[in-house]
Amino acid sequence: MSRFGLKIVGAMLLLAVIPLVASYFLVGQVVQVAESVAKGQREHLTAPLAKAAQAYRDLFAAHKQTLRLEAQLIATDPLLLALVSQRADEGAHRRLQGRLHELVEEHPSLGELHVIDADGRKLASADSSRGFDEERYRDLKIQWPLEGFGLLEARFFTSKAPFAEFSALGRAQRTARSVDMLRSDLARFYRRAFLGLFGAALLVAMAVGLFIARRTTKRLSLLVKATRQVAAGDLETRVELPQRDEVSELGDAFNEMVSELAASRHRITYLEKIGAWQEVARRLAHEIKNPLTPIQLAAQQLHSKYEGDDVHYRKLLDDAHDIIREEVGGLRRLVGEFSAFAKLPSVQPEAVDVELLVDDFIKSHSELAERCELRWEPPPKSRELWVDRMLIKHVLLNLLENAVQAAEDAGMDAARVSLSAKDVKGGMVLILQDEGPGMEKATVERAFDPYFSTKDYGTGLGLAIVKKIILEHQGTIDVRSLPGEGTQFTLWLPLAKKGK
Amino acid sequence: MRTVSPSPLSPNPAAPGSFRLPGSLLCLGLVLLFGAKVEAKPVVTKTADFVQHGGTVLMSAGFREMFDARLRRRLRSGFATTVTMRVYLYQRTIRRPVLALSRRLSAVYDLWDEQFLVRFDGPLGPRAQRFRSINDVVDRLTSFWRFPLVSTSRIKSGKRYYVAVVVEVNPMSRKVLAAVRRWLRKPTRRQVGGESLFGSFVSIFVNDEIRRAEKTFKFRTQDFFLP
Repeated sequence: MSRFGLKIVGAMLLLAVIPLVASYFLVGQVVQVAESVAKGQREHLTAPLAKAAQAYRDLFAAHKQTLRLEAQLIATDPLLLALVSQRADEGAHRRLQGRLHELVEEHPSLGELHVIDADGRKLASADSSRGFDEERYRDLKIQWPLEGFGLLEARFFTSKAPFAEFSALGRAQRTARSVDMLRSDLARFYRRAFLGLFGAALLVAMAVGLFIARRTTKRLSLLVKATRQVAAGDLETRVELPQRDEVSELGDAFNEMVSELAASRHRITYLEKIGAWQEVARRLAHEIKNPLTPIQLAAQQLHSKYEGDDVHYRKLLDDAHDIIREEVGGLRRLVGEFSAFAKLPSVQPEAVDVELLVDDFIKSHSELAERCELRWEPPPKSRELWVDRMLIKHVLLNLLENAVQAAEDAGMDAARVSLSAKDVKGGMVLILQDEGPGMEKATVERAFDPYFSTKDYGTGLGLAIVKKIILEHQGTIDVRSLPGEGTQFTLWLPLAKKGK
Repeated sequence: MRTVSPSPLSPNPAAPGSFRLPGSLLCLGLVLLFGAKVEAKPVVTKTADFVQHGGTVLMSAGFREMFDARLRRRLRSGFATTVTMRVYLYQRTIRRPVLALSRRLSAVYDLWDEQFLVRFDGPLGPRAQRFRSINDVVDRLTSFWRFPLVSTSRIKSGKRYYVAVVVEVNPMSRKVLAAVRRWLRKPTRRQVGGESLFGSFVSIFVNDEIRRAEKTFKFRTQDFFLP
């Protein structure tokens, strides 16, 4: 992954980590507080539980002690002891039985009472009519010695309810101890759970970071690759970045920049080439122009000085003189065009209203109206171009003459040309469309090359000069043409900035 | 039945020399992540008697020392004391136990009758025994007497075996764990709704693995083998 991608992932992780770490410490504090509260609560709970348990134990012990005292009291009952001592008597035995019943009824928790002799035989017994069932009561047998005779066995009954309550207390205490054992673990579990969520959040943040990084860096990589291609000289490179955001805007800006760079390079290359041709034209004009006058004068002298009668020779001289004069004239014209091409004036731009410019051009070249049907569509709103008035007129003249010449060569009565002007971003487009014979594709491709001409008498400098003038205005010129469908020149020229 | 001298003490009843790297790394990661405390208490080795009786190996062993004064007081409290024993039979050099058995005893001092009642599962179902002496109760709770360990058909002659025992006093009941899980999942205690997502997540950790006991005692026996 690129360093930029790593930075994005790192940023996403940091965004996730900072609040999570803060939350983790917050949760830690909350857990500590909760733990402290629970601890306080436990202390308030366990001590009463222990005291309640002890109270039950004391209750059971006291109850048992009470029952023992009751048994002792019964065993020392004087009437009972007297009847026991007279047990051999039949009547006394019945009274003993009756006394036992009385004693059982006198003691509410007493269920059974037995008098047992030294051999373990029951001499007399009495049961309670209260009906102690084992479901709800539990018993306690207490034996107490009868003075001078065997034992007294008392069976007491007591409710099971307190024992059930004691067991419940035991279970509550045990549950409290268990929860207490878990308490410290719970805090740890909360932290673990939080760490689990923490880890999950980090993974999600990392995944999101990777996703974003991949998408972003992929597009940036495309830009980097395209930039390297441009740096290597490939100005045809363009990038297409999906989605509308700052990165795609960067891509658009990159494409625009490369387009401008390509146009600038083309302009510079072309101007350099034209500059070289201008130098050639200047030297040629200089080298050719100088001998022309002596040649012409010499030919005139030869022609005028002959006074002989030789008709054939005279005719030869006349023909030669005409040829030399004609060719020197041609050469002078050529030299003139070369000179004009070599000495193109530098651009002196000024704010010029396009409508006035074209109207002025039409007026000053009225002779063209005879050979050309020109329809002029001015722009809807008045606009000022930042151009050299004279040079742009020269351009328009050159293009119109080309159209007229092509129409004449094609045998048309008159050239039909339309000229329109439209606003475009930052400039204005002038479109010059003729209905002439048009050009072949190969001709179109070389239309602006210096010294390229399809005419027998052309120098091939006209369109080269036109293009040079337009490029020196920081403008552009394009030509579209198809055989039989006319030719269209599209000129883009800058608008004058406000205040100029 | 012959016994051999105890092998060097190992905290883990698992076979020595069975270190596994991935598992250990995972444990290390978890320890680092969760900061758990690792306590490496040495496991006590106790000498037990192994007797072959019929087709069964019987084990006798005692661990009375685990019942300290506090637990003795607890025994007399009138509340029930539960002792669980998990018995694992291992063959030396093999990590997994050959078998695992469990035993559960519960003792309660009847404050009314002033005697101890010990309940346990016998071969014929639940049984109860009464004791007057606390020492007898402790002996009952902390010993195996002719405990039927394993059928001789399940152990290999000449191979060395040992027994690992985990004794827990008053272990946390599953009911308590379930209640704690419920409290975590439903902090509002409402019958319907009120579930806490985070609490539910935390309750995952409250499982049998974290069951605690008031006291845990572990020991292993010396090796024995069938001739």
